[in-house]
Amino acid sequence: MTSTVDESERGRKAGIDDAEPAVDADALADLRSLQLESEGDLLSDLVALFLRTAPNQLGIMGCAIEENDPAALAAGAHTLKGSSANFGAQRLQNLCGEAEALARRGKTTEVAALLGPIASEFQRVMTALQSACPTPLP
Amino acid sequence: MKILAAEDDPVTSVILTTTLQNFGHEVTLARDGMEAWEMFKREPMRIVVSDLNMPGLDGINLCRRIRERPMTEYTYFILLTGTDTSSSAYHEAMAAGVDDFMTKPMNRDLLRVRIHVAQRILRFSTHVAQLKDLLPICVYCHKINDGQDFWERLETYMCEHTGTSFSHGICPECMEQQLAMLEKSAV
Repeated sequence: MTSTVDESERGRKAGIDDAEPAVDADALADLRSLQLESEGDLLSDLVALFLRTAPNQLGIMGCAIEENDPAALAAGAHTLKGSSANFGAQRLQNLCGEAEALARRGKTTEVAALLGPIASEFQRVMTALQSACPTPLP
Repeated sequence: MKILAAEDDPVTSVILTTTLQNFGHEVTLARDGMEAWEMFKREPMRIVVSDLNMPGLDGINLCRRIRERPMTEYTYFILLTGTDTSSSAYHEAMAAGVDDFMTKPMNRDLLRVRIHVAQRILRFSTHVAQLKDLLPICVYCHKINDGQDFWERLETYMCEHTGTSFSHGICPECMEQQLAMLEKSAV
C-alpha cells in the first residue's frame, strides 16, 4: 500500500497524470509511416523487439542495484529511456531519465525506489503497444 | 551513399537503419562504438551517424579515432544526443571533430536534411582535396581533368570550383616571344 502511494506521489512529482496515455499516438503513427509497402509490419516488429529487450534492461538495472554498480545501472536506464522514447512513452522515459541521472551521481539506493514505478509503467506501455499493433506480435 | 550507423539500442537501431535505407542509402550497422571503429578501419565510410552513449567506446571517442586515422578522406560525423545531454558534452564532442548533432528520438525529416547537407559538404571537401593535392593537367594544352573524364580549360575549372575569375594579360617572357614573332612575320 505504501509502495502504491509512493508511486502515485512520484507520478505527481513528474507532473504526469495516471490517466495520461502510456504511449503517444503521433509517435506510433510516425513509426507506421516508416513502413515500406513491400515489407512486413514494421511497427509490430519494433514493438516485439521492445517487449523482448526492455525486460532485459530492467533485469540489468535490478542486478546493478544489488551489486551497487552505478555505471551499469545508468547504462540500463539510458537504454530503456531511449527505447521507450521511440514510442512516445513519455512517463517511462522520464522515470528512466530520473533513474539514469541518479545513477550517474552514484545514488543507487534512490534508484531502487524507482524500480517499482518503472516496472509498473512498463506494464502499462506494454499493454498499450500490444493493443496498438494491427497484427499479432511475432 | 554508404553510411555507418552506430547505435546500441536495438529498437532505435532498426528505426535509424530503416530511415536511412528509405532515403536510398546503404547502411552498415554497428551495435556499439568499438564495433563501429573496427568496421570503419576495414572500410572507411564518408558519413557516420552515431549514438553518444554506447558501452565500450562512446560516440565522441569514436569520432576522435576517426579524425586521428591517417590517410582518411574527410568523414562527416553526426552525433545522436539526448534532450538531457550536458553542454560540456556538446563542447567535448565539437572539439573531438563532430560536425552535426541530432537529438533522439530522431526527427526523420531533419535527418534527411542533415544527410543532404553532409553530402554537399563532402563534395566540397573532395574538390578542395583535389585542388590542394594534385590536379591532373594535360602537358600539351594545359586543360584540367575534372575527375569525371572531362577536360576543361584551366580558367573554366578554377572558376567552377573556386569561384576565381581571371583577368587576361601577358607576362614579359611571352611578350618578348610575341614581339619577336610579329617582327619576323613583318619581315
